[in-house]
Amino acid sequence: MALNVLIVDDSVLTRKKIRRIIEMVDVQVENFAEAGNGAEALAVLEKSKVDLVLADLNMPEMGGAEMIRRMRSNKATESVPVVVISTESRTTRVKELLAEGVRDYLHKPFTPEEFRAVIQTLWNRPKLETKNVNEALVEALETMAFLTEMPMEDDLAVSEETILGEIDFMGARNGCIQIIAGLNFGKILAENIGNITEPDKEAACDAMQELTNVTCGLFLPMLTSTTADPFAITVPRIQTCEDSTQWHDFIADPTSVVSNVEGYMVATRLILKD
Amino acid sequence: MSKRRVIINVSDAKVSRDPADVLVTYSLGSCIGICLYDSATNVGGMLHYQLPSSKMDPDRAKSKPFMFCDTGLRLLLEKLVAMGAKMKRMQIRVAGGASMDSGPKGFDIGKRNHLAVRKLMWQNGMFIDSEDVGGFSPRNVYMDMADGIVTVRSNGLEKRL
Repeated sequence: MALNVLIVDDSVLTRKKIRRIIEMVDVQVENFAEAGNGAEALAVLEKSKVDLVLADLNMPEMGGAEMIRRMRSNKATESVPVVVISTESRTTRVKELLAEGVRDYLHKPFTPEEFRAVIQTLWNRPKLETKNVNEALVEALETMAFLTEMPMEDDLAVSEETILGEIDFMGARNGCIQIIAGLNFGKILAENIGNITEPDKEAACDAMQELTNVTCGLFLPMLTSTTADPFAITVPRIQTCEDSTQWHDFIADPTSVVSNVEGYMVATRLILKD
Repeated sequence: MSKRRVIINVSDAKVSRDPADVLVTYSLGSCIGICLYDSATNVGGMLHYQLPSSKMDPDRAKSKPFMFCDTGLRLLLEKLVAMGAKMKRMQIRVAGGASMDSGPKGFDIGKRNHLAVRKLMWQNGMFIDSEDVGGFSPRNVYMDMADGIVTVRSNGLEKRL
């Protein structure tokens, strides 16, 4: 698919640099357009088809933020992807931009390799699946609880009370991560994390809550190449169920992934809401 | 001073307080080698274990306690403390835990062995000072009892841990 790319920056040299890097990356470009500020960019967007906008924020006449705001309030341009390339270093500001729909953020100065990573993430946008959450879960378990995934065994079952942890994320993507396991797994988790003997149900729930939190933290960087922390997350919610009904309902969903964690069944699910 | 090589075999552990000794273990694949040294007393020991937990085979653990991380480490620590070492002073260095081709697919015993020692150290309130774990190649590990310096050799390269 050949792209129409619009580069918006008041520096001619920077526009040249960006254009050169895109040409170096293996992305087919049909047309390059350039603009020296937000107003010129909007004029280009009005006349021509643009598939990607790469924009600075700090420009004369009209800055990038105002340009983005006007793009978002115009039906014709509201869904054109924008990547911001700027010296802006305030995390809150970057978060706001990403929450406004900016696809990614690259901090100036950038190396050609950093820029390439952004472009490649954008165009090879990973098809997100629960298995990505599962990868994050495995890393979380190894690091915080010294537990590892093992090959699935047919005779594993969850027949006891279950604990479900759930956490929402909002930002460049929106969705929810869920992790469910039996109470006994929660207790092992609590024992390993806190080095406590005979953990109770409360400790098990605490452990599952923390596992959900940490798994989400490991998963979210898979969604974007920016290092700016573009997501807001909720406090994880915990739901228990006296028997295995909650478990069976959960794994009946074909998108859920079940793992064997040292003899205990643990399942994860990713729900995307955008 | 001429050095004396003290070899620790698979599922084995040895201790020393002689500065002329070099404790050495060979071919750490998925196994883990743990080196402990108390510089105040020059007391130290090395364990080479194969499996993470004695629960996997409690009968075998009775006859071969050093085959397992939990039983092996407990015995080694008891011995070192009896020789005058202090747990809090111990330098702890770990090597091995590689992914080797042998073993059932998906059952990464090297990783499980590594996690087992991390968990045990956490339970004992001890830090691992340095480690060289994972990868796909076997390692040889040497600990010089004169100063506790641990060296790892793998793939023709040598480095201090």
